Amino acid sequence: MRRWIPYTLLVVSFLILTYVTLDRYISDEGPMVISQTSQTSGNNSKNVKIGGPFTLVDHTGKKVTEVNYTGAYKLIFFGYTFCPDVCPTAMQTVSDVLETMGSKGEKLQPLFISIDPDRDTPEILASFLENFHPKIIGLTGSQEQIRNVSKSYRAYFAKVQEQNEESDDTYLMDHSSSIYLMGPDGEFIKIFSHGAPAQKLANELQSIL
Amino acid sequence: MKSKLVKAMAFAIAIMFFAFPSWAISYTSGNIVVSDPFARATAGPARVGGAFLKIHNNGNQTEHLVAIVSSISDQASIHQSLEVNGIMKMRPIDSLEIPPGETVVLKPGSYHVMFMGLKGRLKKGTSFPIRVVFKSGARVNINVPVLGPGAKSADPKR
Repeated sequence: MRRWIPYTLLVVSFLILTYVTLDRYISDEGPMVISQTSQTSGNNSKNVKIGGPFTLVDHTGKKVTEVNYTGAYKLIFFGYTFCPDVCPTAMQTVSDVLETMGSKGEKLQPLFISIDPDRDTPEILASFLENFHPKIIGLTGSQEQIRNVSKSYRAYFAKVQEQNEESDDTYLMDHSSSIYLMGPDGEFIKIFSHGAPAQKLANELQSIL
Repeated sequence: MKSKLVKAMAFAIAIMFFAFPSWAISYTSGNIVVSDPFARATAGPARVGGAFLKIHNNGNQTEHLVAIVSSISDQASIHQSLEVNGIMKMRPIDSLEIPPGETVVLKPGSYHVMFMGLKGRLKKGTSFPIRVVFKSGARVNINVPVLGPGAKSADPKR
């Protein structure tokens, strides 16, 4: 009978070890690709390249590339104007950050890149942005251009197919909600997650800029 | 004697001002109290809009928010914003539970009233009526003020 004790102990400790390992593995290495890893280390840009050249149209209808914004620290958000919750919240946060930072924020260039180019024409972007900080630039483009830019930023977006709706103009989009901070030469610096308060962003940006 | 009364009234009014700021509006119907509603102004051509509010259940039964009735849009529903691995998703929900004695807050990043097919632009400074409908049959008619497009709470100062 005694002989079973060490064996049982071994099995139990093995089970505990497996559980602990799995638990760690699952919570740390989940499907989260960029937002989590890059939040923990700002140098992640060396491993996963984020960002790159793009050709888009701004909210005044002018064709632009990444070169237009060289020299500025860019705060980039991917969203769409038909979004009633997350996107206006993010733009309000960015507006508050610019407001809070005052002259220090002059080095910042916020870019709102539409992931819904079918609906977001330059005019619609302009009308969406007119109520936020005037420095925010809206960018849109062809489906292909938007696919390319979001791919280079590893930003995810997908149209949600409504089960009961015929294809009208009220569809929803799933999209990455993070704000990317890119350096003056387009180098990736870090990602801020959605919901970070404006004051916290402003403080962090003060120390980086 | 008269001046005492005036003083007492002035004091009462002052208390009311401090205790109930002008933006703290609430509507009661039976056991349900709906408060602090606000909608976000929409961009010119956008045909969707969002509104937020608080619902408190004073009763001892769970209430279920099941519908929003409004004439400002073709459809109104309750949506939930969910962040899943850095991806923001927004989905309609059929019913929102308000447990007895609790307050459920519809706020940015969580639940919101979603208006689809808006008949006109929601302009800052205006307001519109909606009816908040519960499974129990309770219904609360409220007036929703339109705040800025990035408003995060019913308090205009924030």
